[in-house]
Order: sequence, then C-alpha cells, then structure tokens
Amino acid sequence: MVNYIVSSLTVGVIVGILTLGLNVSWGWVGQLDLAFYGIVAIGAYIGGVMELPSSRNSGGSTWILGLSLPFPIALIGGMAASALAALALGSVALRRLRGDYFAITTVAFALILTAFLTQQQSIFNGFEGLYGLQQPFEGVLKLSQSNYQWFFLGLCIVLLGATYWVLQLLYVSPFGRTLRAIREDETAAAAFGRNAYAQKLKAYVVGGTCAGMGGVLLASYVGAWNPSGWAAIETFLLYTAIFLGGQGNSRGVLLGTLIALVLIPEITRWLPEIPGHPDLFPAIRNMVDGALIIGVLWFRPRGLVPERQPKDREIEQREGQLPALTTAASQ
Amino acid sequence: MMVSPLLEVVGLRKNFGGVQAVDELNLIVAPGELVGLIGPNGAGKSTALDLISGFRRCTGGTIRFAGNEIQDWPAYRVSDSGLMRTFQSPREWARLTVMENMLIAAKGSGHIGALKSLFSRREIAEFERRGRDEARAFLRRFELFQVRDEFAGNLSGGQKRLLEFARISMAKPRMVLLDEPLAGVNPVLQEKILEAILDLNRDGVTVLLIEHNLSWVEKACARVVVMALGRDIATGTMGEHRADRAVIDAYLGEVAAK
Repeated sequence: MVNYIVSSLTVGVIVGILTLGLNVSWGWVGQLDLAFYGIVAIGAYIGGVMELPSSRNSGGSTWILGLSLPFPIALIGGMAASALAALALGSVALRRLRGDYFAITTVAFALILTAFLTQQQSIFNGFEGLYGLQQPFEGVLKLSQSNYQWFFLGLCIVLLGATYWVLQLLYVSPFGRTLRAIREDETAAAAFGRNAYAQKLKAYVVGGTCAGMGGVLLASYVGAWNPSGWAAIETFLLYTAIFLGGQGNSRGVLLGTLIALVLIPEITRWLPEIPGHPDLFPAIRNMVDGALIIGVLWFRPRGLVPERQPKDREIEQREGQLPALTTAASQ
Repeated sequence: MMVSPLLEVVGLRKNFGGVQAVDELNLIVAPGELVGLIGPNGAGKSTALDLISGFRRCTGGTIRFAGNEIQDWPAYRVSDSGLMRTFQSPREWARLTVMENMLIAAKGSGHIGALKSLFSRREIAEFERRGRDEARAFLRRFELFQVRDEFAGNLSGGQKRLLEFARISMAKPRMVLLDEPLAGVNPVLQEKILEAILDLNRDGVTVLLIEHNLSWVEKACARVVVMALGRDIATGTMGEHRADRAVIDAYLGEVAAK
C-alpha cells in the first residue's frame, strides 16, 4: 500500500513538472499548445536512447544512438532535445501572429509525429518503443526496491522544486512580464518595443525544456516509452489540471495536478467494481474531469488559485526594511 | 537656420485594394515640435499613423526617422528606436497590475531575456528598483498611485487614458504619435491630458497628434497639418487654416471657420 502511494505520488510529481511547463505557453503567453506531449515524447526518446546500450544485440528491436550514458547526461540530453524540438516547431507555428494558427499547427505536428514514430521502426523501435531502461542511479546506490522508490520520489521532488523555483523567478522578471503583456495585448506590446514572435518562441523553448525533463523522468520511472504513452489525451489531461488549479499560477497549477491527475484517478480506482461493467469507472473518471473543467470555468473562471502578481505595496515595504536593496534577491 | 527634421515623410502611399487611403503624403516634423494633424473622417490620418509607426506596410514612399529609413521596419523596431504611439482607445494590459504596466514601458526592459533574468539577478534587481521608483513618481503625478496594485483592466476609462500617458512618460520616447487622445474623454480630463502632453513636450518629446476637437488642438499645437483625401493640403496655425479656402472646403466648413 505504501509502495502504491509512493508510486502514484512519483508520477504526480513528474506530471507536475509537465503541467508547470505547459503553463508557460498557455498560462503566461496564452498560446494553446496541443503538441505538448509530442515534445515530452521527444525528450523521453532521446534520453532513453542515450541511456540504453546499442540495439545491435537486442534481438530485433532497433533504435538510434544507444550510448549507454549515465542518467544525468541523458536527462540533460533529453531536455536539450525537447528544447530544440520546441524551437523548431515554434519557429514555424508562431510565425503567424494569430493564436489559432499556432494551435492548429501544433495539432498537425503531434499527429505527424505519432504516425511517423509509430511506423518508423529504425529510430525509436516504432510501435513497440523503447524498453529495458535502467532506473537512474540504481546500480550505484544498490538500495532495496522500496527504498529505491523513496529515493526516486525524492529525486523527482528536487527536480520539481528546481523547476518551480526557476519558473517563479522568470514569472516575476521583466521577461515573464513581457510574456504576460503579449498575452494581454500583443499590439500594445509591439508599441512598446516587444518582438512578440521572438518572445513567444523563447517562452515555448522554456516550456519545452520542462517537457524534456518530465519526459526523461517518466520514461526512466516506467522503464519504457512507446507511442501509446503519449497519446493526444495526455495533453488534454494536463490542461484539466491547469484550468482547475489556475492558469498562469504555478502554485495553482500544482494543486490542480494533485487534484485532477493524482486524487481523482486514484479515488475512482478504489470505487467497487460493478460486475459486467468494467469500463464504467474509467468512463466516470473522464466525466468527472469534464465536469470539473466546466464547473471551474463556470464558478471560478480563473481557477482555484487565480494568478497573483507581485504587489508593489509589499515590495515597497520590503525595500523600506532592507538596508541594501539586493540582499534578498542575491542569495 | 534649418534644423534637420526628426521625422520626414515623403510621397507616402497606401492603398487597400482600389481605395487609395494615403496618397502622396508629405510631412516634416522638427525635433521638439508639437504638431497637430487634422482632417475629415477618411482623410487617411490614422492610416498614416499606422504606416509611420510600422503597424502597416506602405505601398510606396519613404519615412525617415532620426536619420534612418524606417518604412520597412516592424512596429517593435520602430518603437525601440524611440518613435512610439498610442491608440484611439487605450490599450492597457488588462490582467497586469497598473505598476506592471508601467514597468513594461521602462526603457530597456524589453531587452532583458530569460537567461539574463536568471543569471544577472543583482543587476536586474537594481534595474527594477530604479524602474519602480520612477514609476511610482509618474503614478503619483497621474493620480494612479493608489490603484497601482489593481489590474489595469479594472480602471475607469479616464484612468486608463491617464495610464496611457503615464506609460508613455515612463518610456521617454524621442517622439510620440497620439491617435485621438481625447476620444471618449470628459472636459475635466481633457485639461489634464492637455497638461500631460505639454509636459511631455517640455521634457523634449516631439509630438504629432491626431484630434477632432479643434479648439483643443488650437490650444495644444502651434502648427497644424491638414489632411484630405490621403494627402496634406495645408500646414500652418489654426488661425491661418480658418482663413484658408481649401481647408474650409475640405474640412472646417463655413460655420467652424468663423
């Protein structure tokens, strides 16, 4: 039972990294990205083939690279791959200034990517996907299975914390503020010297980097990665968490992840099964998700924890109390 | 003595399909001037302003600003070079606080990217502190200090107008193009806006403004350019225009000219 809870929490924490990343393009910039799990997948695959040994002796499975690299390097590699993928996709999809153009282009990208990687056996082993991924640091630590679970959860929490911290810094920075201004009124942002295309692209790369991190972690945790793991529905589930928690607010988004992607699936799983209707509870889960989105949009359109921006009153007070101005910021 | 112009528009043209919205417009503004641009509806004033500020591409002609040919520049680059504009209705960033609206306008803040925000935090903190100090001063001047932590979208129409001028003051452009700064503004606020514009001009900002309220234009602008059918038909003081047959026919009409 404890193992079970640790395992669902671990997945929840990793998905938290993903929702934080998706929230950059949707919550900060207001771009509806429907290819997010495609970017996640690219990170997971690249991280995977960096970790895995060469596929030459795998008995029929084929994948590129196969470098047997340690986990930290694979993690960085996966993040870089996702960032590059976001840069490439964004530079095409964001070129037209209209938001719907971006959404449509990302859908097309996700569909093409799925079809391509499912059919193409030689890159990431097609439909079968990658499997046999080592758990990070397992060989070095030599922990028991249950202790290792705790270790991996801790690792994910540290990475989630780091992601949250970096994104919070960016959110209140001049860069984050520019992104939010572009979300509110792109024309006015241009009138104040902001190149909306370049700024949106940067934001998309920031979100893509988070996607890569989450992807590598997810693949490492499961030990495998294949096209059924990153279907279009996964991206929509992340949006459920964002809408529920509060678009633009990292804390809200994490709360939304906990409720929509950890608690609700777990609770519906524990309901007693009705004989003869095995599909009932998965269906109920989707209905609950849908009802949640509608309910939140209806009663709390900005989410459970709405976006909150730094108040000048508080900053002024803080400045007044500090002898030197950068004491707090330069830690 | 001839001062070299800050803004020089030569033979500017723009057509939308078969409609010639701007047709051989010539316009010269010297540094430090406060020039009015008037004309009947459909004369092409707003289109001209869009062309100069880079929000629309011209079909022909040249626009020179501070020595650069800018007619092909995108809007953000024109703005970055010190030629800014406002819009007919205020365009605040609604779900940013009033203070954040001001900080976006701070000179140089657009050049701070993600990496700099993360790795030069001491420098950024210092930049932001100076920006906030300055913004607070402007917000006091425009009577917006008390609402500085409100979302800008929650302000009244008049406050939004004032925020627009506070933002422009914060940005310190070399020149600003004002598109009907009085649209939807009550008489009390009109005086405040006149003051704000004169203040800007005194601080060295060159101003070109479009406005339909002619008595107000007369108070604000020493020189007024009249546009009709896409081109400039006269330039001079409002007094001179009132005696000008061509201007009366095109815009003022017999009654207003008296």
